[in-house]
Amino acid sequence: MVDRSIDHPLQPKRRWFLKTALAIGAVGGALGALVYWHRGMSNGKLTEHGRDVFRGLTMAIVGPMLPKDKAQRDAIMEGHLAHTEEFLNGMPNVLQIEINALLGLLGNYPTRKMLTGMGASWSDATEDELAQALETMRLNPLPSTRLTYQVMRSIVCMSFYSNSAHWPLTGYPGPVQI
Amino acid sequence: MSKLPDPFREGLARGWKATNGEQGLPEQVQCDVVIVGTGAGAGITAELLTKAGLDVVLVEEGPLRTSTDFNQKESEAYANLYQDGGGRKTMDGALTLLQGRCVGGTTVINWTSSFRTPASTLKYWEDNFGLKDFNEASMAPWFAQAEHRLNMHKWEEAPPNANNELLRTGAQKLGISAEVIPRNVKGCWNLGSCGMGCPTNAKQSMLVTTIPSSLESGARLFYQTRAQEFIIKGDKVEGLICVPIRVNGQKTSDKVLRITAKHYVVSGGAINSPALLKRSKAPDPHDLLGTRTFLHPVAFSGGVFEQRVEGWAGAPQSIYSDHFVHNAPMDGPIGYKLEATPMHPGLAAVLMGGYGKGLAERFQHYPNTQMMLALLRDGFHPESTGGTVILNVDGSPLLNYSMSDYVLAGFKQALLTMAEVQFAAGAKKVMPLHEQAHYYTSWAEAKAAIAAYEMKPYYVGGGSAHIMGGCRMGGTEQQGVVRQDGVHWQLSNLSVHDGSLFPTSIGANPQLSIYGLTNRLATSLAKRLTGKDVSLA
Repeated sequence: MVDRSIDHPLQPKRRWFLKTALAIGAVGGALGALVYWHRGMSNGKLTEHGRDVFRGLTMAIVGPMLPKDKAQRDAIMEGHLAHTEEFLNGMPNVLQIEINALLGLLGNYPTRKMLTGMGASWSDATEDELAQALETMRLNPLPSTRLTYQVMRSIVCMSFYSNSAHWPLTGYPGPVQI
Repeated sequence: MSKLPDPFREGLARGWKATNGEQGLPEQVQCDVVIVGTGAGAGITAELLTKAGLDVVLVEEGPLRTSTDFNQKESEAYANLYQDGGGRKTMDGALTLLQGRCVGGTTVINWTSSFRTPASTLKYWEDNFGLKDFNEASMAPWFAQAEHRLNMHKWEEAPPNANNELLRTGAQKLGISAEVIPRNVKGCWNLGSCGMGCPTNAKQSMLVTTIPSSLESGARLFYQTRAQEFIIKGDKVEGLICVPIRVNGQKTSDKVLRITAKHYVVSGGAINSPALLKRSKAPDPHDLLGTRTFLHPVAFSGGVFEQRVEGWAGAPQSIYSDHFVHNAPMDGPIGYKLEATPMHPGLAAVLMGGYGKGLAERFQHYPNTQMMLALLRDGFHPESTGGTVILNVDGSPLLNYSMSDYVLAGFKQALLTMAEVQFAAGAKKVMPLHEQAHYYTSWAEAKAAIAAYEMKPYYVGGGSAHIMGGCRMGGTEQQGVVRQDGVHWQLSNLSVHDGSLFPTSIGANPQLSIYGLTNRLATSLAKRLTGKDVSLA
């Protein structure tokens, strides 16, 4: 029997499959590259790009609870980023690799745009743009994007609110002294 | 930092044998019995085996932290006392798993609730897993001994905090049961910091009870030491290979410690125990290892009250309702237990949900927020088969657990119940943990809104602090990884003594279930190895 796929021009189904495979390969390769282009952590330290992402996420998540004074706000943010780095270093390697990948995806323009719809960088984004970026992720039809929101929100919240320096912002008076 | 006496440190000063793997391990160790883990199952086993005169070695991957270190700060507690620095999740990331990883295991960070295994759960095991003689009457003496040893009792030394009292108020208004929780505490200061390690040593965890008694009797402890794999030949384990690790789990060197023993006990807890056996390529002819790993998936609901609740203060859990467990037939919709959740800022931020102005508003209500939880009974229905432990590329464990439609339907029902109870207790507004939730100001409004929720992953907020199964007991080798005496069906000198033994979830906070069961198994193991009768209490 003649193998039509060899002797004849590509059939629509086969052409579709090859095109799809090539497209998936291209997108996958690009995503892979973007994870490592401007990576978020290196040798246990947040890179400038990683700090930008976390600064933006933190502003979007806890911003309204921060003092209005810029100097105070900046000081809190710097302390928080140092604490976040410590928090991430408390996790095993495999989790750090996964978080690094998310930072890469959120940090680089093409994948950030895809995940959050936000064109502006995390450091340039306005308050409204940051809020819209989170809202896009939170209710996204893609489960993986919703997961990204949940993971990054958890990290920011656990790191920020478990830090005793931030208790006064929350209403928690601190533990009973013994 | 606690300024109170620290009996563990005093013991170390007296010469207890404890080695930090990060600072170097010997190449070889020999003993009668090596126990992997130091949590609930390990502690009970170690105490009984040392009582029988056996030379016992304990291997713990987490760090040694004692009451002097417990400063009631979440930031330090999660990094030092919890699996994956507090970041452990199901493989799909949908559920956060709170599991201990330190000397004393989860008993160091649990909220002290102490329930016997429900009779209905034991009966289900007898009927479905061939476990004979596992019923309320036959298990009662084993639970009683554990209760005596660990001072478990209905906790009525102080009134419940408002977070718990409101659960009782709402339940009573609706005419459903609400009871006082038994706790394993002695001289509790009612600080509310149980989840961060008890700084007063009131909590009768393994860290202050059975591990000290074992070390006093000559047991040796290796911490920050990971049990990497068993060396298996035929139907016997010939050795255990361990590696030194840092607090965050990273290996410090390629040097290994080889422990040889007459008998090996795996007590690393559900997830870690099946993972160790998988790394060791333990025989598994019926593909059971790691399967039927259960959670109590937990749904949350926050109710805002006129008065301050201060959910961070006082015993975290002191009131419960089993109304929706007792009235849930095993083959019907999933049953759930109602309890309260302590509200320290980090955990509260996660459980209140939201971001930006929405989160800020929730924090404005934080001191007045009562947080209720519903703990779903997993594993008793064909559509509730739990998850499977698999190995990640680096050999670390992953729990592949997806919430079925059956479980998600249970979440919705539990969210409805909790909102109703909170409004009955007088809540001004209620917000369930769900991405489509808002504050609702009446039960009618909440009922209509919750009914319309889309129950899909990452919309439904949840977690679990109870992980069970993966090395289940079975009456035949087709039904279980281990026999009903805890010994592995294919490896004659290896036992499993921890929560991974359970063929289903418990349907209640599981610590006493682990103590009671491992008390029974370790007592018989001691008799078999030494001919001596020993008893926990």
